[in-house]
Amino acid sequence: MDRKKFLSHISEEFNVELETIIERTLDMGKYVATQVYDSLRVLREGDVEKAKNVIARDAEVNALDISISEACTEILAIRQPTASDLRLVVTVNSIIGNLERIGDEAKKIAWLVINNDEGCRRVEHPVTPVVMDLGENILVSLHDVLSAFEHMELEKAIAVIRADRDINDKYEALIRQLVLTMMENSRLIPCSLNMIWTARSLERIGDHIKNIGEAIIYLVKGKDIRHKPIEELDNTVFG
Amino acid sequence: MNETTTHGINLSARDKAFSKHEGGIDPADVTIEVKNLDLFYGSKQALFHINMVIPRHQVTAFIGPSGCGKSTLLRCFNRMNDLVDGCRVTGEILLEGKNIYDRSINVADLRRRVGMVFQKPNPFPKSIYENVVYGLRIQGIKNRKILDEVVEKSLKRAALWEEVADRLNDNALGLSGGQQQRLVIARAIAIEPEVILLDEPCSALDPISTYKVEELIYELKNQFTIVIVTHNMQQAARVSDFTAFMYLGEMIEMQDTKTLFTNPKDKRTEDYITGRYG
Repeated sequence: MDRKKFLSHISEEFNVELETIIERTLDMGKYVATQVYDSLRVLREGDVEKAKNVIARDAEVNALDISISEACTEILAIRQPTASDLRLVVTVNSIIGNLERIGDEAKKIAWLVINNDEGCRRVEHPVTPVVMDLGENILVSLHDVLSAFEHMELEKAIAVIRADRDINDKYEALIRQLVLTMMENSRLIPCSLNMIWTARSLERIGDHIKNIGEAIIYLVKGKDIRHKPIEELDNTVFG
Repeated sequence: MNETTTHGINLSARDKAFSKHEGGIDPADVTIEVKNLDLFYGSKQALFHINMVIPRHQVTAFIGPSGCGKSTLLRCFNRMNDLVDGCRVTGEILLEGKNIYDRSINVADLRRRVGMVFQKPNPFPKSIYENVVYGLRIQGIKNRKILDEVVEKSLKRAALWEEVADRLNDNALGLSGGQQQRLVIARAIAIEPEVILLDEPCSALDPISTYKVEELIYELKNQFTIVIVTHNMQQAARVSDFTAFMYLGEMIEMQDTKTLFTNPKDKRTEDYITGRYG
């Protein structure tokens, strides 16, 4: 899908309104990606002050969510969009909702750092590198899905949806590893429980990224692939 | 009436209609079938190879820019174009399987079966009562009891009875525009047609009258097959089960309305309904 098509309405003002919600959604995406990156850095460094900054900045994510959502509602009420215009507004609404929840998960990770006891913060947990690796996967997927939306690229959105399976596999392996760690060293149980919550947040972020990928497919192809088995993805999208 | 799924979720009639349409139109549910229709005004061709079906007891909307041929096509369904000098039609229009352009067809009888309502309400300068029974009187029905019953039934179906029941002998021209349009619809349905053609029925009405007529259309489709021409795309989206987009005399795309307004197949349809440069 060529994004320029949203600039080809007879009403110049409508073009501007649609372009604005696209750009602001991308801005929100970049902001949320920074929040996720910072929350992971805070986790690795155990830096409570920076963790507080991540939590404070979540208010900005919420404000963006509300403001873009209002813009979408205005477009629906005033322009009564149809076809790809309608799908764009619906997709933007879905994307910002998912981005807001990704922001919440980043905030949760930062909270866990603050709530960790001093010992957990000072000593690196054995699974920290694995959590960071999972976090890296998440950041790549988040970047890819935002790029898929920016360029309205179907293939990239499909790739992101497929990548969620790898993220889930890594998450499950991480949980197994954490269980083993707790069995082997009971002193690490409190820190490991926090790691489980962190891993859980990352896995949830992966799900939200996948939801965004599905919304992009709806935008580009007009097909709703939610709740369809991944094996049927190609058939559903191209069939 | 609403039904529920096995999980107890309510399915409205409209939901069911949508899911039915997604699979296409069953040939047994077709009232009108248009086959290779070309229409000429003198040497100028106005319709090009139209092939389509109008499903029974559904609302089908024709949309498209001015001059695209939607009203011309609508008028073919009861041969109103016969009245236009130099108009020539080739191809077939089958009403319940029989070609309405066949020589054996009685045009007056055809127009009894296929009623029409126009853009501007056109009640006769007679009483409300006489407007409704006009068609029946032409058919020679004089029995007052039958006529009274038809008046009440038709005005109730047209959602006008409550407003005019106590002044049936008043002149119809004293009604408001919206009431006049519903009266004209009552007059059309009084003779029990199979199909009702509506040519821009709300374009001269205010929003409240428009909603009343739209609600009426929704109610009437249980008993009649309805074809509506409208320039108002939101209206087409609100009232119709199927929408056909026409452009420069061609039928570009016909889909169930939900699909046409969310994911049209043809770029020309998309450009038109989204207000883009063609």
